[in-house]
Amino acid sequence: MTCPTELTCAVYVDGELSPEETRAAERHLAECARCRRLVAVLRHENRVIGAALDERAAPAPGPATAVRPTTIPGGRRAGTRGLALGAAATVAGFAGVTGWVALGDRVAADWIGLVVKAALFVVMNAATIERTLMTVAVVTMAALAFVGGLYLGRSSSRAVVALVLAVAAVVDVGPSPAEALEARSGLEVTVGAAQTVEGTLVAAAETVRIDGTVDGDVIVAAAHVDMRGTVRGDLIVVARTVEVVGTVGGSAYVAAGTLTLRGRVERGLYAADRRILIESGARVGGDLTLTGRSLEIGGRVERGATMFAHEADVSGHIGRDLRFRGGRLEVRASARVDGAVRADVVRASDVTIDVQAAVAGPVLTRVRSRAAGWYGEPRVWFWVATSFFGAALLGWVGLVLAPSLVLDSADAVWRWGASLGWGVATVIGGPIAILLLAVTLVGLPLALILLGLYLLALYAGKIVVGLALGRMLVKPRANPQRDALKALVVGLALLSLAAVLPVVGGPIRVAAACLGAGALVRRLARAAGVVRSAEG
Amino acid sequence: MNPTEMAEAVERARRGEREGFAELYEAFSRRVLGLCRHLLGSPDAAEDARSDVFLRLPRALDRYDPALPFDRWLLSVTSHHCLDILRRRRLESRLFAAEWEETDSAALGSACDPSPLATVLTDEGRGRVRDALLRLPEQYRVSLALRYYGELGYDEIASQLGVTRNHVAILIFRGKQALRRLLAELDERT
Repeated sequence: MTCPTELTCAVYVDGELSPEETRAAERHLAECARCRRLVAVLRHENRVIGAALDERAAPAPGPATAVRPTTIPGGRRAGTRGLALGAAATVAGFAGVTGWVALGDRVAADWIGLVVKAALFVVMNAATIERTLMTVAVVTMAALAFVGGLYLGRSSSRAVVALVLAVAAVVDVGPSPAEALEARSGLEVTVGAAQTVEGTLVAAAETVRIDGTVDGDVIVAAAHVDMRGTVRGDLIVVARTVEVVGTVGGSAYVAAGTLTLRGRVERGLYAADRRILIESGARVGGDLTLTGRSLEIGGRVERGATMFAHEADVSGHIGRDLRFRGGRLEVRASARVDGAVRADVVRASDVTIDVQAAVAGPVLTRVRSRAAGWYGEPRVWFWVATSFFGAALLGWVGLVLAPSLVLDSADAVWRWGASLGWGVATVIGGPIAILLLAVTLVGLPLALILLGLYLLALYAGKIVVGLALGRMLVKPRANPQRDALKALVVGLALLSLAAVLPVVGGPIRVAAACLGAGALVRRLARAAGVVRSAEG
Repeated sequence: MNPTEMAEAVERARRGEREGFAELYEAFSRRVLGLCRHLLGSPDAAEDARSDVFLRLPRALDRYDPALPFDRWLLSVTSHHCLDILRRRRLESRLFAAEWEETDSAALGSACDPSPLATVLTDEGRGRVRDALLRLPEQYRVSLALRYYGELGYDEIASQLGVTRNHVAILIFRGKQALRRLLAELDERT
């Protein structure tokens, strides 16, 4: 008897043979072991293809897949390393999935895009940044030399010499502007209406006015920015008030007190501002991602809008989905949303959508409340588990790398007055220092590093407090390292659970971060010898 | 969403109630997006296509026959829309046409002589398989996605692609062969 073709078998497996053909195939399969094997293989293949296509089953091609389940040669140590690697991959996978769930893939993509862009900017402009840093260093040194000369010399002639030397140093060592980059500073920087800046413009001033054209990007730190001309590249601004009346050919990244957009941004607008006003004639060609206190969207957004805000007022046209998370969302009669409205609010009544507003897609309101039902959501427990595992892993790493620092910090938690003081100072002072560095622009890389350290300290705060808590509960036995690890796990588990308690959960989390970060920073400061002078 | 809930949501959506649409969107938007992504091959175009499918849903629902499970119907509507986009992109309507007609059965191999690559597709590295799927020629990617993600039958796929049922069988068969080849090549390279 001849076997059917592989094609016939494949069609049989798909269940798409005619009834007679199916019967014939089954008769043959009953007799032929080879064909049975083939059919089994084809079935398996179908499952593999189905699984590969189904993204819900495999949310992210995360690091978990990168760790092959192969045996690592090299005895026990390698085995432990493999285990640690596996654990790290699992935690990273967990965190990735959680981030995905929490933020939604689009939002994540937006923010990742922003971070990548910032990193790219730093890398591409490394030379410029270096030169700017040099300038600052030279100016500072010159100033110091001048003051030093005055102080030491007390003779006017020496002072004059010092001044001349200082100026000469600046003139000599100070950088000449690069070809494709124009750096300007002063009380007021203006690009006149007839003027064209070829390349990138970097400006720091009290007021920056752009009436003309800039062919490259514009990077500005100022109190007031008034953009009435044309920027063909991206616009990156840190300022108190920003008004964009002209056209930005690329994307705009704005951190400001107040942002008013009357003109056009051809690509995305990413802004974190206290108040954002997009007026009715304005247009954003790409996505709109905003964080702020009060937002008013009157203009036209070609793609989706994502907003995190205390209150948002939409009366314009959104080309895709409108996503909102925060306090109060109002969609006015004149508004048009071509996609869905997704709102994440505390009460359903916080979302007001005028009956005359044209919302093409559905309105999805998710009420974010910590009522009893909240604990029924698997997401919540997923978060608890993730935060616990992440903190435990980091704590473990800390205990291995710097045991005395971590343990001393944990003990310092019980001197809670001093720790809390240092903690509050860190929590409030950190962002101010970061902002100051960022606004001076030259400090942008430094500000980013400091931001990383700041977040790490806040996160480590939880670990330190968890460890302190655990050490109170776990009786010490022979092996101090194992004791510390056990205490860490017990304390963190308790803390993670306490953090999701209703009402007190939030304050507990904040207090733990403050207290722990304070203890850690205080311990670090003591090591640097600052504490004694600061605390008398 | 169980079948009764689904039927209720569909019924409410047909009456024009916003909550009905919201429930359907909530339940199926990810799956629809997935199919769009597999068919169009680009996340951005897929987002647009999903928006379009749900925007047109209120009117399309008039044509819905409740005898069919709603998810099946929705995925079929989705693939219709995506294939339209692909065709427009190609400006060539005979995308899936007839070079397959004269394929002789001898070339397709007999079961007693299964292709040596038949066992290549395994579970390890679902990501690898997915990457390979994305690199398949469009006609294969589309056929495999319709069959194994959209879970459409051969007849449905045939009518959507505008080819005969036999071509569908051959497209899917060839698609799997190409996939095995691609994965084997990837293996050799690593």
